[in-house]
Amino acid sequence: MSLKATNTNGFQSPVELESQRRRNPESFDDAAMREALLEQREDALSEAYLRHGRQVFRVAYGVLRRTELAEDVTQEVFVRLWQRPERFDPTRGGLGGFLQLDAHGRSIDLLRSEQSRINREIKEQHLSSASTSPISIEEEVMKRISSEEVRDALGQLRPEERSPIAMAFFLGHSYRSVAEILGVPEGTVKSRIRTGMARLRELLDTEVMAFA
Amino acid sequence: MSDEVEDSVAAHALHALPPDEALMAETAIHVDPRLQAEYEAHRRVATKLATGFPEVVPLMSPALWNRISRSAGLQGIAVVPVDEERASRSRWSISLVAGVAALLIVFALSVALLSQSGTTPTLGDVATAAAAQPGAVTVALQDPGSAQTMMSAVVSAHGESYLISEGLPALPADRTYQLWVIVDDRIISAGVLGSAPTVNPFRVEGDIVGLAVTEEIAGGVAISENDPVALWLAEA
Repeated sequence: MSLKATNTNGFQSPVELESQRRRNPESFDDAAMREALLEQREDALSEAYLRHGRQVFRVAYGVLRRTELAEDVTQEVFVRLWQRPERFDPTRGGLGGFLQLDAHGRSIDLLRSEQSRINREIKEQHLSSASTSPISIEEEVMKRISSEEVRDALGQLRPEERSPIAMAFFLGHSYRSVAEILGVPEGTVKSRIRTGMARLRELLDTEVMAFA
Repeated sequence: MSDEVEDSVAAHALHALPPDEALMAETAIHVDPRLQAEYEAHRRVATKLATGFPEVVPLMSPALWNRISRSAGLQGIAVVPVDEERASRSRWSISLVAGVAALLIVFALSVALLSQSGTTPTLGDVATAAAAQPGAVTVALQDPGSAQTMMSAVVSAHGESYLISEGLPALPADRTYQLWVIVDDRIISAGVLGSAPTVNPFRVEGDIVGLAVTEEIAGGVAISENDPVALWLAEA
């Protein structure tokens, strides 16, 4: 079989990057990655994309449910990492988590933009995919959660804490929107989010995960 | 710190505040170390919640990395021009046809040898026979994330080799798995495997330091931008 080299132009494919990483696995921990990004080393950005690109896209898609918009957010997250690497502090958590939360925030910003026709359609899609009944919305969210650990932890919360957290994080509702849907005061929703988050901190192994 | 501010900090970690309140929360977090610690703790919970988003999502465009590198203004990691990529793919297709023809000959010879035993051998039988030959090596290709063995490869001393699926999930008809051989510092396409591979023959020359399988659009690509779904790399 006549085989032909295809990686011309110095292009580094994910396969090649993965190969290099396997051969030299100590080359980039998160702290070294940050330093390399601060030095504007391009291999650091490609390595970050190789490690975390798919998970960043997954979070963005989970919020937006549109491939093209999730790709836009993924692109924005990595370009921001390149332009402002100092935003990432490895002493506060891993790069993967940082990028995923960045993607979550950017996705919600996009989702909430009232100027965008596309975003209004997405909101309608969210609402049409589940009944507007708060109980049905929460059930729909819980069914979509892929992590058993997360689902179990949320399941152990009181319903009045679980609903606002699930609706805010997984559907992108602001606490005001949650209050409107649930028919409870805005301050009460924020308070329940805080107590629910404190309970989740006990239920989820966040220390190990965040610094892994 | 007041309960109201603490409530806002928790909501902010979930991105549940409108922009004006988010700005106020950011300011409070910036000036109060206790709020900062509280916010970081909430963010760790949010990071964990992010693992709950569905795992099954559409594939990212292979061009996404090129878009990122272009948008970031990267210099060293070149973007493959569309025309060049198309031309490269055409040449690759021609070499693949020639390669398949050569493999068919190898396969036919192997089948003929096995047929002498009175049974009708499958490609799996051929691979098993090849694995038993002197100098043949069998390696496992693993999912880089889970380390689960997804495929095994039998590489003979003469270059005739076989890739055997060990549970690789079937893809939609418009997708295919594609095999890449890593020789020295080069990544070489060794052809497409189809959407539901079982046993695929391939041939390589030179010292192989790695084998990788990626998921691509049907027909394959000249250069993959996708993560490998199965990978074997020789020890450094």
